[in-house]
Order: sequence, then structure tokens, then C-alpha cells
Amino acid sequence: MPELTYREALNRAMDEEMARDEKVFLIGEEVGEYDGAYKVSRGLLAKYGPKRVRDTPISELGFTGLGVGAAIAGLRPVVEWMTHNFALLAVDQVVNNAAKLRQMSGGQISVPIVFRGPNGPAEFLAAQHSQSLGGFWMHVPGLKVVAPATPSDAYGLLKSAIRDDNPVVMLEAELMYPWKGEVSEQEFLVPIGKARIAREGEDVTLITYSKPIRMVEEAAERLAEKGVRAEVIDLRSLRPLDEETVVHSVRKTGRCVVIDEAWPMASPGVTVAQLVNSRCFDVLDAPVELVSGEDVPMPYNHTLELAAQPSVEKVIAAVGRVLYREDL
Amino acid sequence: MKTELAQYRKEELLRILTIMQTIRAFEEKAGMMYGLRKIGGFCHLYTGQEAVAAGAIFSLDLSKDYVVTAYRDHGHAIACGMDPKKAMAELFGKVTGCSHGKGGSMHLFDLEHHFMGGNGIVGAQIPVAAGVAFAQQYQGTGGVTLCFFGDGAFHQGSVHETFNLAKIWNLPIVFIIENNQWGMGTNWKKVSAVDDFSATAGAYGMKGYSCDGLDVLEVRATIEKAVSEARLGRPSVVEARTYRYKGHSMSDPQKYRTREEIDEYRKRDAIQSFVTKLTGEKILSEEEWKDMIQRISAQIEEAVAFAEESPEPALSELYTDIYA
Amino acid sequence: MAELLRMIALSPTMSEGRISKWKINEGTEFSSGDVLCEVETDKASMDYEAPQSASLLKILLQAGETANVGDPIAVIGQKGEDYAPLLKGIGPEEGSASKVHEPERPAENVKQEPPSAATQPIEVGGSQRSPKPAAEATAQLSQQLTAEPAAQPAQRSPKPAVEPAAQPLQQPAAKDAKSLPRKTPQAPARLPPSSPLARKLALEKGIDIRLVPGSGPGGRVIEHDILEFEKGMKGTVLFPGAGTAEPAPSELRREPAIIQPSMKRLVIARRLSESFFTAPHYYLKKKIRAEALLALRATANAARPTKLSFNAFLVKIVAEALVRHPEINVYWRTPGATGAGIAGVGAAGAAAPGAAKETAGRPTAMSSSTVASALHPVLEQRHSIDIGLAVALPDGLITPVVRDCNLKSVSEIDAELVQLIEKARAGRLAPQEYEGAGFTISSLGSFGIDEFTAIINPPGSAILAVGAIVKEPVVDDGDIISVAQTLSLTLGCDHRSIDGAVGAVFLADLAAMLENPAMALV
Repeated sequence: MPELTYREALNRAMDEEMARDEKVFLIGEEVGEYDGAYKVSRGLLAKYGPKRVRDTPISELGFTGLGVGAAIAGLRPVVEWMTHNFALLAVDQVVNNAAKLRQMSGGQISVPIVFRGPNGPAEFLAAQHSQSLGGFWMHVPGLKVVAPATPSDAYGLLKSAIRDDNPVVMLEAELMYPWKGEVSEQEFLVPIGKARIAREGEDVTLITYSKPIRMVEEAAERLAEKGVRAEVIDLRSLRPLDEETVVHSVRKTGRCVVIDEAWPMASPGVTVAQLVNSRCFDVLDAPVELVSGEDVPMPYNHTLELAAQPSVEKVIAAVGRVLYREDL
Repeated sequence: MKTELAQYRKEELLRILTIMQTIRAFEEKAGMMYGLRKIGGFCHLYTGQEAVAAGAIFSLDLSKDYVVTAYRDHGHAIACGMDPKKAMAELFGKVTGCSHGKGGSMHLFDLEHHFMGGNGIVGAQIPVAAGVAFAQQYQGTGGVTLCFFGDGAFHQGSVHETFNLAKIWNLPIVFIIENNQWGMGTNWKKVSAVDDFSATAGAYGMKGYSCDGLDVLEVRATIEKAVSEARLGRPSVVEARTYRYKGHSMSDPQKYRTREEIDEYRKRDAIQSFVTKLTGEKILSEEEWKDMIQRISAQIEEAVAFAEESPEPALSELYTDIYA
Repeated sequence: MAELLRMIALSPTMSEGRISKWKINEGTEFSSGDVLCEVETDKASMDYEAPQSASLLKILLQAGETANVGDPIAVIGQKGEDYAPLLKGIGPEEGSASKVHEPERPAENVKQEPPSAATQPIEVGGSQRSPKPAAEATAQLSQQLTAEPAAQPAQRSPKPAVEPAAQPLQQPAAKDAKSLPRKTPQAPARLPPSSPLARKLALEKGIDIRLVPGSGPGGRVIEHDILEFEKGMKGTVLFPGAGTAEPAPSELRREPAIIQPSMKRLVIARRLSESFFTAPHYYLKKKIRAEALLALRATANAARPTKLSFNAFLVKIVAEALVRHPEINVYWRTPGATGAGIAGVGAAGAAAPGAAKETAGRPTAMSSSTVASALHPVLEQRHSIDIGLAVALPDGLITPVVRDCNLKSVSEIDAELVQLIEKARAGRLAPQEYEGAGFTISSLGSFGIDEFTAIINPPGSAILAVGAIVKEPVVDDGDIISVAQTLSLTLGCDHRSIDGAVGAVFLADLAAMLENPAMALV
């Protein structure tokens, strides 16, 4: 299978969907002439023209809301946010309009729209540009939220999101764009709402999503050297959440660590931990551990910045706590 | 005057009057039903402003045009052709309502009549309306979108962003500012840097129009012109100066304005003025007008009875209509 | 089309309104939006605007009168219409629904709540309460429930405060509550901290989790502990084969084998360490002559098919000594310390049907745990004479307890000891059979030990170590040397609860009674 970067996988997904369906168009800041702030839309303007690859003014509220309007009137917009941090200016349009129009209209109106862009900390970007905001979207009924962590999933989930008749928010990450991975040449879809078992194991379940996956896999590798067989679950979708995969795994291992680079309060990680507590209570041998981002705005200084994020060491320490192993 | 009315066929004029009176009767009944606790929550009545929705929407071809508005939406829904039964049932929260009782007063929708709501967040519908216009342009339908908002919403940032987008992409949209002079309890002059909203259109390279929102034919003529411009890819801004008779919502004690002010506007009542005009021109007789009132009032009674008799939504409806 | 004009809610919270003034007279025409009357609401005076254009045909509610929202206040329609049919059904009864406002009385008093069950007397725990508005009654009830959890019937919801006001009504009020006797509070079945998985496994494997020492944080029993407990006395190599290669035979000879102690071993280790390192022990020694005791036993046994054990006599006489010296039969209770049995003061008595003798006159588990929850250590005076007898078993020591020894005959005590020791050997002792000794006897005489010191069995305050009966020369009061059967007693005491002199007096009295058992009868 050919290797693609995460960025290329997203690009291929959009390219294929735009070719397949005339109603699909891309809209956002710098998506056209500039080929995308992170080059995700490279070449699409040249191929599809300015009608379908639409550069916008810096108006997150405006073009996000416009996307919602276009969706309810029959199009399938892909709205690119330069980052999720900037999407905060458009929260009203996503939460009050995209997520609610179907229900408020008693099912008369459909909102087939994708909102996508990088989320979470990268490096040296300080407080306003280093936030993991998936929980904001995950909180809202009426939205779907996906967070692919591999090029293959990025491709398959974006295609599913574009074809979905609901508003879908996609969490990407700046540092993931250059990640390489195999992506089948055959066209395929990854279903929304289905988690992936990234590594099988018997002793403890590690649950994460998006960028921390590689760090968690490294932690699992190091744990294996110490005789601990960790199962790693990549949620892939935050809403709907694949409860069954999570529950099945924890029922097998009896121990669970959730890794989420978001802040710890009211976060996706806490939601998963609550799910495990309520559905796996009788098999838990230790309280569910949450390894989250520290509860602080992200500092610029790199040492502090790294300390504010989940790490291999923090994951292993948490695994030690759920296994009652001080030797880890 | 004769020339103004002469542009219209009699049935057109009576149709416009019927729409206005239907809205009036609907709103008066809705106010009563709210007082009797048949309707709850926020209920923003359109009484006094009927000429704007009636005149503007009468200018549209709803086979391809769309209407988007805010939460004071009963009038626009009815003007688009929503069955008053469905509207009243929605206010009653019944399953037979246009939104199955899930939207309520602020969220009336009628996709069939191209009425896209019904938005409860001040100014949030403005970019959405631009998106509808974007889709019309993208798909080459030849349609236009009418975007209604109030003097309060005008100060939202969404207005600036959307005006700009509409102009740079030449969207087929008409922005109608229904200046009813009171943004909740705040007089518009107190919070507006300009004393003519339509003048701001020029800053975006758009045309701005003003019209008397209490004169239904003036509204109709202005919007007709703006709509035909919009069909050619020239968006514009219309300010219709009007007045609401009732509080911002039903729970508003209206201590910020005097009864004399309200009475002053009631003397210029849009429906009464129009009726006077029509009877003066012998287009409408007193008898016909009384008949029309009777007929409409019976229709609204029927809507109330329908709403009363309709069932509550089943509890299983709680989880429906959220995802496709 | 005459119709009734009804009182409407002019504020979101308005439930009734008083007409302060009619602005138009009967027979007057009005237009939609005209003010018909002024209405005083709960908040302000509001204008009642005409909902439509018509004439005011009849005023039904006069100025100064009050009506509920929805009640008719007037008839409107076209002049000359016959509205009489509309008034049918609005007879004096309906008319009386509107009532003259009495401004000097607060609104709450004017409003008459429909009589609801909420205003009925509510009895909780047998105490009569006067009628109370629902909210207040609920608050009281929830207070009551909080204050007296043990007095509540089992099916009662533990969180009435968040229940709707109607909820308490469904609970046994007057009649049911009366029949409920005030019960002595019972100890909740307390479990050691444990993981859900450990509890599930323990249940599946039939293991009493209270016996399992927890190795997790705060003594939490975890899966590992249950699995190890199940292995029992079979010591196992820690993490066999995990990560390391099987050691070669030669290595085995050189390296000590690391043995995971059995769980029982760990309990013994923990409890005795705790006792030895926290209770300041001192020892009193006394050698006694055992002839009289041996003779008594021989006499008693002569007529019996089965022989009463020496220990049974020993236990009985110690019990009699304890009756005379209650100051020895005490617990030193330290907050957070291990309880009376192997796995703490459990709900042994409460939970086990076989423990019928548990209650009468004894400090209850509830009171002792209540006391132990205090911040400072306390001295607990025990009223029952419960004597533990240390029994050596291959997998470790255990101390079955004979209850109420002062109320039992020697043969009863002996029968119980036989049964308990048999059970102990089979590993089938229930917690209530080895927990809660007030005093303990340890005897190593059968091993030929002359004398020894023992470690106090917490939370008891004293232990008697009994050596072997040996023949040795003694010098009597007349300086005559003779051969006597002697027995060494060593009393170990906790100085926190028993001072040296107190222990000495007890030991002296005990020695005298053993040397002359007849003294135990008087």
C-alpha cells in the first residue's frame, strides 16, 4: 500500500468527494490561492476553480454561518477553520444553528456540513493557539465529532463526514499533518462512531484519540518491556462514542487509563472515564486514571509547554497506579 | 394615490390585506392564549409590524426564493403561507405543529414554503441567510433570499461580516432591517451611531433603501425593486421603519415607553390605513372588510381549536429529529 | 359572537389578578389594543389590553375583586347580543371563586391551597407532628431522615431532599411508622476498601473479603490480593516467570527463594507488629502450684466418658477472675487501628445468624465504631467475658473465642473449644468465631515450654501465657522442700490501659483461684 501523509490523505479525500459530488465545496481562509494554511487543500483551486474552492475574508462567524446556510439550502460545504482556536468566533453558528436546525424544525431541515481544521497544541504557539477544544463540540447533541489519528483514518473519516447528512466537526492537528501511514489505493470509508484497537493487550486499556496516539503507543511499547500488555484504543470518533469497544476492552483488562491532551475539566477524557466507571464498575480493579493536559493555559516556554501535556512518563505512571505496580 | 393602487389587481390588494389581517388576528389570539398559559416561554408578537412581512414577502416567488428571519417570526411564517393551524399548534407545543412542538414560537420552519426560520439568537440568522443565497447562486436557481432582522440585531458583528461576504460574492440577497424602534427595552437611537441604517449599505458598496414600514404598498414596491436587483447579483439593504404594539415578548411590562407613544402609532395602524385607502378607492366595501375579519377570525379560532385538540408529542419524540 | 373575556397572566408568575379599575363602562365599544382595565398582579399594575375590537357587554368582575388566571371577568361582543347562555355555569359557585381582596392579609394566607396529602400530619419514627405545609414537612422529614438513618425502614429512599414534595407522602406516614419499633441501630455491613473487581472475584470464589488483607492504597483489597488469598497457605513465588528467565538449578542453591507469604501470614504479621510496636507491653510472672486444679479435673473427668480439657478449666477460672477484675477486660481503641478480629471489627454479629448471643448487654459494634471514629483513643469497658484461646496451626496462629465464659459451665466451654479448634484446623472458622476476644490465653505447655511472653491480641489489653506443668522442688511455708506440680503464668499487659499494680492484683487473684479453685465459686 502506498504511504501518504495525513495532509495528503485529507487532500485526497476532499478531491475525490468534490469530483464525485458537485454539491461539495471547500470554503475558508487561505484555502484557495494559498493552497491552505497547512497545505491541506493544495491543488484543489487549480482543479475545481474559485466557485468550489472559496477563499474567504477573515470572518469565522460569517463564513461558518454562510456554510450552514448553504447546507440547509442543499449544498455540502466543507468549512476549513485555520485552527479550532479561531472557530471560537463561530461557536454560535455551530452550536446554535448547525446542531439545532434539524431538531428545531421538527426534522424538516438537514445540515450536511463538515467543519475541519487543526486542533490541540503544536509547539511554541502559546495560550491562544494551543488548545484542545474537542470537548466544546463533543458537548453538543446534533453534532458529530471525529478525530482521526492516522492518514488512513483521516482519509476514510473525512469522506464519511462529507457524505453524512449531519454536521460533523473534524479535529486534526498541525503536528499530525506530516505523519505518514499506509492508505489503501482502493477507495474506502471509515464509519463514524467506530473506535480502532491500535494494539491488543490483556492487562490494561489505554484510551486516547487524535495526536496523543503515537505517544500512547510508545508508552505501551515500554510497558511491554516490563511485562505489561497494554491494549490501546484510538477512539477516532468522540460523538457518537463507540461505547461497546471501550467497554469490551475494559471488561477484559479491568484497568483503564484515559489519555486526553485537553484540559481535565468537563473534557472528552472525563466523559470516557465516566462511561467506563458506569459500565465497567464491577470489573475495575482500580479507579480509572485520566492523563490530561495540565489545567493551565499553555505557556510559550518549551519546557513548560511539554510539562503541560500528557507524556509517556505520565502514562506509565498512571498505568503503575492502576496495576498497583510501583516498579513501573 | 389612484396610480399607486392602479398597479395592482384587486385580488392582489385583497390578498395583501388578508395576509396582514391574518397575522394580526393570529397574534392577538396568540397573546390571549399566552395569557391563558396555553403558550409558554418566549413569545414575541408581530402586532403592528404586519405591513413589513406582508409587503416584502408578497414580492417573492417562493418557488425559488427563500425567507430567513429571527424570533419574531409568526408574521413571516404566515406571509410565506404557513397554515395558521400548524403555527398555532407549534406555539402550543403540539406534535401537529410545524416543528412537531420542538421549536415553539421562536422556531417556526416551513421548508415547503421556503421559510427557513425562526432563529432565536439575535443576528445569528444573518450569515445563514447569506449561505442560502450562496446556494441559490451556486446552483443557479435564480432565487433570492430575504433576510429579516431588527434594529437590535443590526449592531451584531455578524451584520458586518455578512454584508461584506454578500457584496464580495454578489449574493442574491436582500437584507431587511425591520426597525420597530425598540431593541427589547432600548430605543434604537440610543444605541445606533447612524440615524438611517440603510445608509450603511454604501460602506459595503451596496444600495440602501428606506421605506415606511407602516405602508404596505411602499414596502412592497421597495422590496420588489431590491429583489429584482438581487436577482442580478446586486445585494442591498432596506430599512423599514415600523412599530411594535406589544412588548418585546409577553413578559415585557413596557415601562420604557409611554402609552401615548403606542397610541400615536396605533392611529397610523398599517392595516387600518390600508383599509381606508382601499375603501376610499372603492376597492373594498365596509361589508367586505367585516366579512374578511369574520372569516379570518373563524380561521384563527379553528387554528386554536386544532392546537387545543392536537396531541402532545410522545416521549419517544425526545430523541427524534436530532440526527439524520 | 359574544364571548367571555378571561383573566390572563400579565406577568410570567401571575396566578391571579385584582381589577383595580375598569377603564371603560359596560356598553362601550373598544378597539383592539385599548386598555379595558387595570389589573394588579403579583408584581405591578398592568394594563389589560383589548384582544380585539368589540363592545363591553357585561362586567363580571368588579373593581377590587380578584380572579384566577382563566376566570371570566367580562362579556364582550357586539351591542345588543344575547349573552345570557354564556353566563350559564357561572353561578354563585363560580362567582365565589373570585373573592374580595383583603389587603391587610398577606397573599399567601389568602390563597387557599387545595387540601393535599402534604398537609396531613406526618409521623416519623412514631413522633406526632402537627400539620405543616408540604415544603416544610419535606424539609423536616429530610432532616429527620438525615439525623436518624437507622430508624428508617429499609425501603425508604435515602435522599428525600431531592425528591419532589409529594414523595414523602408515599413513604410510610402515620400508620406504618407507628408500627415500626425504634430499633437499636445496627452496624452497617462494613467492608474493607476494595476494588469492584476484587469484590466480584471474592463473591465468585466464596471468599469473605474481610479476611483478605489489602495491598492497595489505604489497604484497598485488589484483584491480586484475592488471587493470592485463594492460594492460601501455599506460598508462591512472586510473579513467576514474569520478565525474567527461569533460574538455573545452581542459581537456586545460591539465591534465597523469594516467597510470597500467605495472606494469613501477612495478617498475623501486620496485627502482631501493630500490637507489639504500638502497645507498651510489660510482663508479670507468677509460678503457681497446679495440684488442686489437676485434682479437680481428675475428679470431674472420672465420671465422664469424654475428658474435659485442662484448657476448659483454665478458661473458666480466668473468666471468674475477669468478673472480679473488669479493669482487665478493656479495649484500648485507637482511631484507625485494626479492630478486634483478623480483619477488623466487622459486622460479624449483625451479619451472621449463628451469632445470636452477640447482643445482650454488650457494647455493640455500632457504639464501638462510633467511639473509634473519635479523634482520640478511648478505653472501652467490655461487659461480656469473651476469651480467646490461641491455637497453633500449620499455616499460622488463630484465636477462636469462647463467648460469655462466665455464664457457661466448664463442660460447655470444653465442648465449644473442641468444636472451635476442629473448625480452626479445617480452616472453616467464621469471623465471628475468632473476632472480639476481650482477653486471650496462649499455652505452649504442650510443647514443653516452661514459660514465655506473648504479644497482646488487639484491641484487648492483656494476654496470659501459660507454660507446661512441671514437677519441681518447692519450699513451703515451713521451709520443707517437696516435689510439686507447678505452672508458670506470664501476664502480658498493655500499659496504656492497665497499670502494673492493677495487673499485679489481677494476676495474684487469678493465681490464688487456680491454686484453690473453690475460690472461684465464692
